[in-house]
Amino acid sequence: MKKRNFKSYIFYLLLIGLSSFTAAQSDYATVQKFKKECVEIEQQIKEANSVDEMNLILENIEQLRTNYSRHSELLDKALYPEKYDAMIGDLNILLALREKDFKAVEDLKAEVSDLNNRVDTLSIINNELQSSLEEIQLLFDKTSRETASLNSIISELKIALHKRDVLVMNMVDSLMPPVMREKPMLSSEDEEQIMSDVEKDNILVNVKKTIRDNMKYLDLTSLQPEDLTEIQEQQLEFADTWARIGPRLAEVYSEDKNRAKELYEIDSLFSLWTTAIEVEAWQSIKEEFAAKGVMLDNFSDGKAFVNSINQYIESEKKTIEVVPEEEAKHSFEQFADQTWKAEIEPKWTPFLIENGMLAENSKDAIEENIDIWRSEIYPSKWWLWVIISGFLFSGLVVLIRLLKNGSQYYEQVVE
Amino acid sequence: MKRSLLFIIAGLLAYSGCSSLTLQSANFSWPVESVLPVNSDGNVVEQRYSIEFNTLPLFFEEYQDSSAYAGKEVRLIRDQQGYYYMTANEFKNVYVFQAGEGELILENKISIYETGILRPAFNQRGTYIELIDANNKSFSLTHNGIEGEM
Repeated sequence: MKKRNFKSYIFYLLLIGLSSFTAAQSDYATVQKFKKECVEIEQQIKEANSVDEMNLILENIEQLRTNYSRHSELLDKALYPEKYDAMIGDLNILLALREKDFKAVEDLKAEVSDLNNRVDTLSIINNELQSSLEEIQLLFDKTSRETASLNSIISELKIALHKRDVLVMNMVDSLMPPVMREKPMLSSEDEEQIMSDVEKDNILVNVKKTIRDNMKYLDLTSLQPEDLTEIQEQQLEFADTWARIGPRLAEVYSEDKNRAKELYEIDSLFSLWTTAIEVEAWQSIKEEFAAKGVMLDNFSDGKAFVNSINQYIESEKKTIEVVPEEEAKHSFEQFADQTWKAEIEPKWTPFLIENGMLAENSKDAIEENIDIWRSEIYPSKWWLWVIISGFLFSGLVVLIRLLKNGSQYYEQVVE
Repeated sequence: MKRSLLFIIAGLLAYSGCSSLTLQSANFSWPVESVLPVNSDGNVVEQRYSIEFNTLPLFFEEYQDSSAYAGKEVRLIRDQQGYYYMTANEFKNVYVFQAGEGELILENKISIYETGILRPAFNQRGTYIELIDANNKSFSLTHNGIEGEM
């Protein structure tokens, strides 16, 4: 009995001690501690770097909720206009948003890895196709079978190149999510992440290889304006993506001279690519003329193009008197009707003018020159028409007089 | 008789017209104390309840030295009835004020320790204000003094 009394005594002492301890807490301190712990968790969420850390933070939030649930009434009053539940809820929302970011980053990483594999595969296919194209061009003897084979390879190469362009472009684009691009200054963690991705996926090498292959494709093929327009659009899109990411990469690699040099090289390659498209257009135009037997001097810009055509017309005009008429007419028709009017003017001049490669008045000047050439080959015979008209008019007058005299004679006979 | 009745009625009407309107069951209590740093002029500002006052007379009353406020914090809480309880670290007393017109008027000065209260804190406990110190010693205060000692 005494033992039981002693146990009860100890129990009550503990209870009193505990209750006095509980009662002796400062509400202000409790509120401040809660606020501090919320801020700490918020900071943890912002600084979290892995899914494991996020799980730990979730546990911390639950712990916070459990620890302070008995003070919820006090906290609701003291935190006004905030509420205990709302603050815990805000932490959960913040955590969910961060988890979403993590998921987006993980997805991007997976996507980049996949893209990388596909780029490797496509690079191999491209190389094979380019080799085939080179071989076939060497052996090309214009048989229909080989032409079909060549066209098919060109078409495959074009598709494969485009696919790889898109993949590499996506890889470049995914280096920096839009949120990172908008930051005025990248954090050291951001920079490390970007460097790691660039190195891991060989992004700079891939970009250079893609541009060089595109230039090689232009060099190997003779393209039509619609093909060039398509290539130009792809090139512009790629260049835009690079323009968004390139300067930020230059910031990241400001300390690394080799990488900075590579970035500069890529910028130069984009300029060369743009020039290569223009060169290809001029080359294709020259080939169009050559296919019709019109051999022009070389040209690689609008001014040289106009000069080359005008020179050709002038030299042809000089031969009008010395060559047979039929030959002169044939030359003119080949140039003016079969090439200029049928191919260059409808197909190429809109492309050239639209891309600022040829001025509208230069085109007009060429057409005026062609008209002059035409007038020299087909001189106007207006005087012949005047004589014919004169004869016709005189004949008509004579006819009317004859008819008039005839009618007077008939009237006299009747009378 | 009639005249005196009229006087009584008029008196009653005049009395009822002059009596002030009173709203009952007002509760002025703050849920938690405010810990207010004293600025260089001796003023404290409570943002949530929009109260600002000068503490120099309080420090003079406690220490007989009005410059003793430097670097101090004042702990302030209001009870249900609207009395303000004020103290600071190492104060010997808790000061109870009631609001006047543009002033706080001392209602009571409750002596706690002759040696000063170490790390005091107020808690709102409904019918009283709880004061605790660094040793977790607790006092139940009303504007009249320490409950149980009265």
